[in-house]
Formats: sequence, structure tokens, C-alpha cells
Amino acid sequence: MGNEHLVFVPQLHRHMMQHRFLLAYRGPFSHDITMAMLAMSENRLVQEGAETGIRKKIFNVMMGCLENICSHPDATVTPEKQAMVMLGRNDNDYFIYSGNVIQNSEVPELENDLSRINELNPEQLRKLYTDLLQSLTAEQMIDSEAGLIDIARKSGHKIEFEFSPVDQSSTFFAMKTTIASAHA
Amino acid sequence: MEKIHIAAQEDTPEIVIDPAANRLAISGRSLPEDVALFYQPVLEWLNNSASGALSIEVKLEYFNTASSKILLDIFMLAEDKLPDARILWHYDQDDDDMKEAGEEYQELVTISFELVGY
Amino acid sequence: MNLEQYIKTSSSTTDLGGLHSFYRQMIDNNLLMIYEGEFSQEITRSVLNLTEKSFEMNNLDPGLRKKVVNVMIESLQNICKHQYTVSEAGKDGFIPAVFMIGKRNGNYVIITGNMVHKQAESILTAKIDKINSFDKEGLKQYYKESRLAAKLSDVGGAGLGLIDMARKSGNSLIYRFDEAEDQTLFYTLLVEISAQKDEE
Repeated sequence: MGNEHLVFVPQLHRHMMQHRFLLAYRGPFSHDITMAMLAMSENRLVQEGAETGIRKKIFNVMMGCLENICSHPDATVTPEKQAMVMLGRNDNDYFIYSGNVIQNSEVPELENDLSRINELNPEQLRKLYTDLLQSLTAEQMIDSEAGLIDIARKSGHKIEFEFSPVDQSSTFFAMKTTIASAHA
Repeated sequence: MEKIHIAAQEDTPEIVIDPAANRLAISGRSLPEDVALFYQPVLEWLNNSASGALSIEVKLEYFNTASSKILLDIFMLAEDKLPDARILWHYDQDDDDMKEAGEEYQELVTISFELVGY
Repeated sequence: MNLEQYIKTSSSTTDLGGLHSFYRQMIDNNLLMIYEGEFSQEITRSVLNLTEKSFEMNNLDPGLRKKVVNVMIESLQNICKHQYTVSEAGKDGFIPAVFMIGKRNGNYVIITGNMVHKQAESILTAKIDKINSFDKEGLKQYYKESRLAAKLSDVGGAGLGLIDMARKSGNSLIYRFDEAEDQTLFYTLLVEISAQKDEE
């Protein structure tokens, strides 16, 4: 077989097949990268034969995740702190995973926002979003929980999330959004 | 007043301001890096030059949260200045989210607001 | 061969824990991008676009960027061409290839992994070992000869793409075969693109 150090390639391939990960990107994030990621995911979903409405939902959620990552620009300093985005699926659903490193001090508010969003029904989420829409400026919207609310609304599922410590000052924030692969 | 035309980019919509037809049209994808900067000419025109029964036609494929706010700003400004203006919200019939977004604006705006599926 | 046999499990759980361990593996192996699936012209274009944007952000030297992109194009085209050849069952039994970009020794690496027939192992091994045996000048010569020969025989079989990748990368090609199923092997190829400029 040879070249033992390459063994991670078939291993990762199997891992991806098991979890049906379609694509993963880790590295710097910017507006240009966001656009390129979105184009790539869109191509991938067209190839998958995803329904138009579903594809648009996925695009929207992905856009929200990427914008969220871009709003934490400190995350690219070291390789360990680089953000990642991944697209996966199973028989019934698509999944969008995003992971990025945030400051420990940001954790409580984020955790609180997500827990609150997960407790709300569609009507309450709608109300919350339109309230923000009326009270905040466009710039404030970017830094608010509006993006997360939008993700939750488009997904129609609870947002799964996890915080894992990285070092004394930072935490890895992982988020998984589920989108049904067909209309109910 | 001259016609203003901003061509669509990968991340910004096409904007057409046609004073002769009294029409403002926004179509395509709206996820600009700087939303306020991109929409500045539209807001300026609405503030300074628009008049009468303006027709605002929105036909978007995607828009981000910051754009959702600017769209509301545009609608509210029209409402303030042009009570006879009307808004046409075009949505892809396969896209429930875009229809719902239109319905929400409809609730927030008092001037004429029509939803048009395509 | 079918998918279940290959992955040898049906308990697919895409939990968040799985995400973190996957992310860990990406970090441990210094991988920047992984794409798994069918390779079409559109996908190739968007993979290239995404990487170029990423290189721009990292202020990668334009000469090196061009080299990496050239090797990428060659590998992606290679996958495009050969992705369906293994599966006799057509697209249903199709096991997608994988494409990765990473870093090693401070250099960029392009990694491809795809299924090949068992009998391809000896052919590919001979071909790559031969390529690896040449020095720069020898490789140039071999490329010319192979290009002439390619007009007579089939282009794919001449391994021009492999020679080209070796030339542009300035390094030996690193490969590995793993047992997949029955008559099939998983073929991994790694090309490391040296950062130092060559004097051409």
C-alpha cells in the first residue's frame, strides 16, 4: 500500500460517505469567499436535483451562517481558529454545519439567543423578526440576532448548537441547521 | 430627470429608476457587502426626486437580513413621501419564504402593496 | 460494488459531535477544502473560484497561485474524465471521488481520491514511478515524447496529466492504494507544490 501518511484520505472519504458530507471548507472567510461558497453549494445542489424551493432555503441558511462567521473576523489568526462550513444530508434532510471560534465573553449571549429562538413557534419568530426590522438600522441588523432568527425561520427546525473550549479566551461554536429535503 | 440603471452583479440586484415611466425596479440578488452604500442612490432619489404614483417593483431571488431592512426603509420612505405609490412584490411560486417575506412587508406598509407570483 | 459495502455501516449519525471530530481531522491534516461528489464543469469552476478567492486573501504569490491552480485544473479534469469508469452498474453504483486542498511543509498540496479497477494499480504504479525517476530535464523530455505518442494512442492512457502535474509541482507524486471492495481500489494521489520559484 505504501505512504502510510496518506491513509487519512481514504479514512476521510469513508467518513464523508458515512455522514454524507458533500463539501467542507475551512480557511479565511470574506464577502468574496461567501459568494464563492454560495455559488459552489448552489451548483452542488442543482447536481443533487434538489427542489427549487429547498435549494433557495439552503442558500438562505448558508448565507446566514457565512455572514455570521464573517462578523467574527478575529477567527483567522491561527489554523486552530479558522472557521469552517460544511454541507451534508441524509435521506430526509439537508444539514448545514458551521463552526467558528468566538471569544468566551460572547458565549452567554449567543447561548441565550439560540435557546430563546429554539423555544419560539413560527408566529413568535415572525413577530420577533419584524420587531427587529422596524427598530434596528441595516448595520445593527448584521450584528443582531436577526440572522439567527432568519436561519431558524427558513429551516423550520430547532437549531442545534455546541460550545467547546479552545483555549483560555476562546470557544469553538458549532451550529447545525436542518432543512427538509422535500416539502411536507 | 435621467433614467438610472445599475446592472446586476453576483451579489447586488439590478436597479432601474425610470422617471418617465415613474417606475423603480429592484431585481436579482441582494447580498451586498455594504448595503447602505449600495442602496444610497435609490434612497436619495426617493427622498429628492420621486413624485406621484410611483410604481416600486421588487423581484428578488435572494436577500440578506441587512437588505431586508433597507427594503423596509425604501417602502417606508415611499409611504412618507408618496401616498399614491404602489409596491409590487414578485415572488417565485416555488419559494414560500419569499412569499412570506412579501406578506410581512404588506402588513408593515400602508400604501398599496400587491403580491405577484410568477 | 455498492455504497453500503464500501462504507460498512448504516448507522449514519450526523451529530454535532461528528462535526467537531471532522473539523479536528481537517485541522490535524491541515486541510482547507474537501469536496466529495460528482465532478462537473460547473463544480470544477466553482472549486477553482473558491480557492482563488482564498489564495487572494492569504496574499499568495501570483506565480505560485498560478502553479497551484494549474495543478488543480489538471487533477479536477482527471477526476471528471475517470469518475464513472469503475462502476459497471452505471451511476447507481457510483462511488464519488474526493478532492482536497491542504498544506504540508508550508506548501500547498492537492489531493485526489477515487476508485480504480484492481488492474489499474500496476499500470498507475509503473507510470508514476517512472515519472518520479526523472529529474527536471528528463521529465521535460519525457513529456515531449509522451505527447508525440499520445497522438497515436489514447490521450488518457499516456498519463500526460500526471507528467504535467509532476513538472508544475516540482516534486515527486505521492500515491497510495487501499482495498475498497472486490475488484476495486481507492487510489490516493498527493501533489505538493513547492513554494520556491524555479528558474524557467
